[in-house]
Amino acid sequence: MTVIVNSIGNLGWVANFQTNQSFHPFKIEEGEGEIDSKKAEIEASRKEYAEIIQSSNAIYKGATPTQLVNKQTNSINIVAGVYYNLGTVNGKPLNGTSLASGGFNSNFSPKIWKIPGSSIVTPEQEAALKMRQSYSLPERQEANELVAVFMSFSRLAEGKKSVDSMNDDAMFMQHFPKFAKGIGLDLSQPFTINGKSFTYSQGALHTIDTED
Amino acid sequence: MKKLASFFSIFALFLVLIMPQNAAAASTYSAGASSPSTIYAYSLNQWSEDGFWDLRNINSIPDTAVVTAAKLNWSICTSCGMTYNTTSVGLFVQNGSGDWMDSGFYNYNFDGQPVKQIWFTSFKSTKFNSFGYIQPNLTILWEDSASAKSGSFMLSESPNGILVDKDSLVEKQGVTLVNLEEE
Repeated sequence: MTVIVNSIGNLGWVANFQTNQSFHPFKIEEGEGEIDSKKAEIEASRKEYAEIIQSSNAIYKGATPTQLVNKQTNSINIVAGVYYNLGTVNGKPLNGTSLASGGFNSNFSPKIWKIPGSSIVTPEQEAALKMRQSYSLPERQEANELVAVFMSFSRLAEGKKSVDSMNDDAMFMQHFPKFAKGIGLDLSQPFTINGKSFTYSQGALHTIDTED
Repeated sequence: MKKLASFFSIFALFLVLIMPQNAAAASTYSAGASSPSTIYAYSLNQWSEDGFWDLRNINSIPDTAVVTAAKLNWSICTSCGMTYNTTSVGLFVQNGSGDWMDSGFYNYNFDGQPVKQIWFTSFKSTKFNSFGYIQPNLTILWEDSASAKSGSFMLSESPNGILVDKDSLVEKQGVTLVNLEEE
């Protein structure tokens, strides 16, 4: 029996194999892309959940909130994820966290988490409801107004909202003076929000142009 | 002359009625109804079925639009033995985070959430006879920093079960409701 080595044929096979091989990784990459996007989605959801848990812990454990205003410099520095005091409602402190994933987690109405289709009411959901019901409806609404002003400021600080749109915002304009008083922001003086300077006069917010 | 005077009075009245709404439109926006429109609960102290709003494909809202506030209005089945005081309703975004709500009041704790996603609601009740139900309606205030656009949209169920944007009659668009469980 003789073995004939067909080197040219083998080269052809090797070439074919390599060609085919170069196709396979492409297909795998496509699959990996899909998997990566799913993984990213799950990871984002996990981060959002962790953020809510962390901010809710601050509420339930009665953590000491950060004061929003530096009274010495009459300035506000808003950072997502920080547990702030936003003043008081009917003498009761309003504290909460602006979430990086969007939304605000407040001690007047702690966030809850539910999977669609789930029927069991969890102890966390019950605790949030109980805490919420410990405030009257008017108190919750006043807290809502202050949160609205804070969130407007938050978007202004991020550059996602203009001064003009703040002044067009009925909710902001109506409740801003009360909010400022509650957090100790002196509106008779210029103030800064995340490094940007403003004044409040004749019932409107104005930008102060700063030279670089 | 009388006709001219009455025309101007009507026009003035029109301005008085319309202008405050326009002024508020920069920051105040509007609402819709869930799918299914009636959501039932069969056990006390447990979550009911979910009612969904799929806002992912509303063309009249920019993709980058964010919520300023969300409002849920609901009616309850009083003949089932339900009361408003013993019914608690939650509103959630598609990742599952949400808030307990007060019927008819804007909740600003949703501020900053993307508008274009699936929203859902569910309730729990401590009092009803053999079953209970609510019929919820969702209102969303939104704004968009990218296009500096804001406005209102009213969603309601058309007879064929497709949600219709009442504000844009010209570019009337359908929104297919997708149950999360089916995805």
